[in-house]
Amino acid sequence: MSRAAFKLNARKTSAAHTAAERATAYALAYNRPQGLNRTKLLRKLFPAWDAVGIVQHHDSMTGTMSAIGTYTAWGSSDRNATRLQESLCTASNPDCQTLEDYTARLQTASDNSAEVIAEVLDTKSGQTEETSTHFTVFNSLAQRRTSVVGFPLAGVLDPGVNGVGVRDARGDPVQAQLSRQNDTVYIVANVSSLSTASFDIVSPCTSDCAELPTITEGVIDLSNTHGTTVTMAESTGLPEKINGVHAQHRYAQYHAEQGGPYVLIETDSASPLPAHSLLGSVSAIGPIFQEVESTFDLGYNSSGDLISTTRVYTDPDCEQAGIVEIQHGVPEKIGDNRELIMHVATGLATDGSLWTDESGLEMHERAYDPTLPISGNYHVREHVTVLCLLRYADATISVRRVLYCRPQFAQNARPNTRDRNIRRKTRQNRCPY
Amino acid sequence: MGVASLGNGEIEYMMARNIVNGTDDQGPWPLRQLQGAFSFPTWVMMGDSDEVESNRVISALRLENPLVVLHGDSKAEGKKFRALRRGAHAKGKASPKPMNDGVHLLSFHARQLPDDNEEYVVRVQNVVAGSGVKTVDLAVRFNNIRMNTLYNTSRLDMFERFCAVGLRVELCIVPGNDVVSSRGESH
Repeated sequence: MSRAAFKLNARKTSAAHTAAERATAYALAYNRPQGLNRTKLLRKLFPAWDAVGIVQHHDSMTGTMSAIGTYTAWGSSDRNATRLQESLCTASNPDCQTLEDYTARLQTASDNSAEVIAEVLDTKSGQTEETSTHFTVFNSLAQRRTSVVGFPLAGVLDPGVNGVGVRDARGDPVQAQLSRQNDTVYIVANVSSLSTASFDIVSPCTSDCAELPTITEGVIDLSNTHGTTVTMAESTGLPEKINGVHAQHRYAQYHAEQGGPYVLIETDSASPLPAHSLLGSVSAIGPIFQEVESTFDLGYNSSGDLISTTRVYTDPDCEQAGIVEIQHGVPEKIGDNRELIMHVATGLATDGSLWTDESGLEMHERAYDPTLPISGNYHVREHVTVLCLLRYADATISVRRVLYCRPQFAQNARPNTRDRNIRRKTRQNRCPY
Repeated sequence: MGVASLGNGEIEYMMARNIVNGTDDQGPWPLRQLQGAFSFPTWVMMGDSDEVESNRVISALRLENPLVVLHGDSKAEGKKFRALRRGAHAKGKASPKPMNDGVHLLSFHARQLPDDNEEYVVRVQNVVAGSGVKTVDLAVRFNNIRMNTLYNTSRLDMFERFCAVGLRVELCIVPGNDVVSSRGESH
């Protein structure tokens, strides 16, 4: 498993654990249904919590950091962080130095969380009841949410034969869209705070059925009535402008032989994929979302193609309406001695400032240091990465544009910079935090 | 993985690496990362600073905590699950009310006590910096949990302050994100 895939699993597991924890607390505090074994549930949640905690601690360990000029949040040097990692491993599990151990911990946490939430909600997990046509949606946050969700159809129903439709708990039809592959049906679900909503998939369907998207070859521009617009580039198959602002997306690759902590020590910029690497694009428009899928040949004996899907959600009230989603389908193996990146160029003046967040959701500035190699200017990410675009004209003009890309990675803070950054923010208030 | 801004208005983020002969001699992670093909999302929001800043963290929390989709069957729903789902309407037991806009429920979990009872930990956080002081009445928000003792647990940032008076908990913004915590026990 790659580090990126591992981190993605860690974030998903953390969210699953949070949902299981809250569903359990809700059930115990408000409804304590008969037959719910509190001790059993809490005992299952603890190892899940423990595993998530261990994995998140490791996010801050060496081997995950930039090479030069950056350090872990736990100490002022890589040596200190290594000591912490060793002590943590020794205290919790003498054998935890291996990737397999961390992976096993994550799997345990994921399994336990799934079992607990299935027990509390009295549903069956996807693994055990994947042929069910009944779905339950749980909102683990404390706000009412309107969000797009997908129900997998593989092994359940074949929409190509008799069509499928989605019905809510009262039996009323729900607007739905099929994926291009007919393997998932999407709806907009409205779910109360810490609550659930139920849906049934019906087939055959004769009215108010899930719609197949309209599919065309090549790229289209994407938009919704919320005001989100994406101008797609035919030549790259990727976004060129977002909401009218230049935001040129490109995949690129670093190439080097020399290894170094976290990323390679590089001095040359990554090379954008050549034009001929774009194998083709296909677009789809439906009632729930619009998307452009582009396929790239990474070359250098990679094991497969890179598939990028840029999507805009149609419903102006759904929580995804204001964002542009890009799914990156990475093949099992990229070319030897390559590092694959996504590069975004806005052309706007940023004063060299990059802002990343910490675990408390506060933002810290990461100023570009030209004396460091590229790897030294790479920073680990927690929730949100902000490219803070500063003033255009003079210091009195506060018009700024902000771009953020959601990552799924870790926390980091360079020693001795935290206080300085906080003071700077307080005095100048020059950037969101 | 990481992110960098190496030029004016530019941002780049790592996606995968495959270094055949290199090593960093640190941690369990090989630089030659081979995995089953996998897919991961990034999300982009662009707009003026006020618009993006007011939605940035809220969007991140939603995206990181997507609605949980579970297979279920109606037979099971007729038992325990329905009781949970109908919590808001159960006799004498109202379910938690939604939090104020911009207030995130950071924690809500149960702890088992030695006396065979349990306590609940509730932590909330103001996630919109600069949005002003917010007041959250946990006794109203969690109206089936009898609040017992208010206490502070941790300080995540030098600007975070805890303001708790009785059952009313005030979130103070000066100017970071504040965390408050309270402890209650069930009836």
